[in-house]
Amino acid sequence: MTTTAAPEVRSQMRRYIAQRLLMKGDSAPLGDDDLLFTSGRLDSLDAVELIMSIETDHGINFSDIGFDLTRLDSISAIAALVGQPSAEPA
Amino acid sequence: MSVESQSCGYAAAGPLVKPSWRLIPQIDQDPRLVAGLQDIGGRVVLCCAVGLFAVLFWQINIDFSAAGLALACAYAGRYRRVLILLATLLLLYRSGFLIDRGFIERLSIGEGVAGRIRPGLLEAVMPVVVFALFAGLLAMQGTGIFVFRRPTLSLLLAFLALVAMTQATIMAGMPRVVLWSFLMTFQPYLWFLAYGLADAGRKRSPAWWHLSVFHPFWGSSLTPFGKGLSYLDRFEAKTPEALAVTQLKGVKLAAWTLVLAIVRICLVDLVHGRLQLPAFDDNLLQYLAGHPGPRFVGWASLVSFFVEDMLSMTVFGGVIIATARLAGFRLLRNTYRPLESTTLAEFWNRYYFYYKELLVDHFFYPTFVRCFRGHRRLRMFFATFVAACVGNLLFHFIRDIHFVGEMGVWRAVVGEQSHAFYTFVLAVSVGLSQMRSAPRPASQGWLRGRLMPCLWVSSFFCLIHVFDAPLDREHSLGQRAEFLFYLLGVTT
Repeated sequence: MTTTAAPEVRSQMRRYIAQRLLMKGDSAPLGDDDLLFTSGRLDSLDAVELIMSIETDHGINFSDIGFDLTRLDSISAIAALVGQPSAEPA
Repeated sequence: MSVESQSCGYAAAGPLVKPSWRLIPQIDQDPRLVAGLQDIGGRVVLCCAVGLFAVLFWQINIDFSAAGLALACAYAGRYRRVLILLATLLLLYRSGFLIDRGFIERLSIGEGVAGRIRPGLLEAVMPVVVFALFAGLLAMQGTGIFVFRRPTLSLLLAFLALVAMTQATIMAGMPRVVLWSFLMTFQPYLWFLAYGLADAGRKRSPAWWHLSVFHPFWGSSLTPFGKGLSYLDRFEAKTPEALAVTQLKGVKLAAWTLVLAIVRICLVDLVHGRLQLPAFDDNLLQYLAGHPGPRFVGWASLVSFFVEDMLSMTVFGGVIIATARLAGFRLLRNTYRPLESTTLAEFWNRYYFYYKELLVDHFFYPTFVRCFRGHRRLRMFFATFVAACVGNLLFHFIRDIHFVGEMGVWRAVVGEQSHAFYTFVLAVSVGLSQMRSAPRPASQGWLRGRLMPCLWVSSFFCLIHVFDAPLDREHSLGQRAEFLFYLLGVTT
């Protein structure tokens, strides 16, 4: 697992998500608290890519922590998920 | 937080051409209207406009009366939650709590207990029992018991176990009627409870808040439009300005839905009235009776069925979402330009958004985070398969659970064969489509990037409609396949 500081996670996630949105033709501004999935800007396919990316980069096992899409629904929520101790594997 | 417009979220690959002229003006983006709707005068005008829409919809046999309740809820201030509960209860009461009364009556006669049973009493008691059970389950959620950690799985297993129990010989007579009454009262709320239990596990809220959106007054099928409480919270207008914008979006959607409803009526009149084209089911029945019509008539009826079905779905969801928006919930539309889909997965997303979400939330994600974690492509395919095939099939089996009471388990299961084939083909196709598709750059051109994929996707869904048409319990997979071969020119 790589330990990444919260600001770095935020900027990494912002870049990643902005790129996915751009590929879908969505160039609207992206704030840290903007809803990603419940707003319809990203779909389940994007969620899958995001889950796999977080699993690989941050060693989080979503089946251990109880999967909840709302925890990925904004850049702030993702940063909080990746940063919280309970999300880290034993 | 901001909720962007749906057009942004569903933007497909390729250049988007935005028309300068719109049939329905973008009233929600007019600052004067948004400001005007925040005072008494504007609200009175809105109420009049909604009343006018209700009358216009009523003229074409569409019930938009819940929009009045929506406005009342929107302006109820601190009594909003209570009013939502009362509005929901009122409409549920009006529809007999969605219990299939005819089925219970037929069953009572079949079991020989019709003379000993008081249907009115049973119908009054069962909703109380079922809602008390729901409240108890919601209150117990979060206690760490295994069944609450996997609420959907536990709920489905318990429901199906009770259905199996109805078939036991020992249950003959009154016990069977009582158990079926319980199941038929429970069934319309099953997926609402699944969302409710998932929500209650994350955030504590009073049970009655959850219950107030079990078949909310703005409308739903067995699929919850607006999912559960936590999803609705995210879309609830928190300021007078947000409420005004949301309501204007509701008016806009109601206007567009009215236009589409009229288009559908004109289309049906033209196709089946003036051109005398038979409905798809009639065409299939004629073929199976040994009187096949011309092949082009078969194709025309299939295409018209596909288009009419899409328009019906858009109108059905449009009325519900417009009502929810008038109540202050800025929900995404259920059907949004499905013919613009460039992949099979995208079509599903655009055709019946809340049903797709149900399958994704309760089948796809739970499978995806648990199974084949070391195999990227297999993991994706398997989760898609579980959602689109297993989940889809289970949903429809439970939706049509009365067939088990009427036909017995075996015949009800066998009757699913055509639909099982449909879900299998759909799941494999969507699974492969998911594995192949990655966001494409907008450089492929309009023909290759947009038109051809859109045509392919629409043709695929139109064609597999042969296996998913309404008569699917009465005709076998073989008969439907035979009809498809006839359409394709393989047989005569």
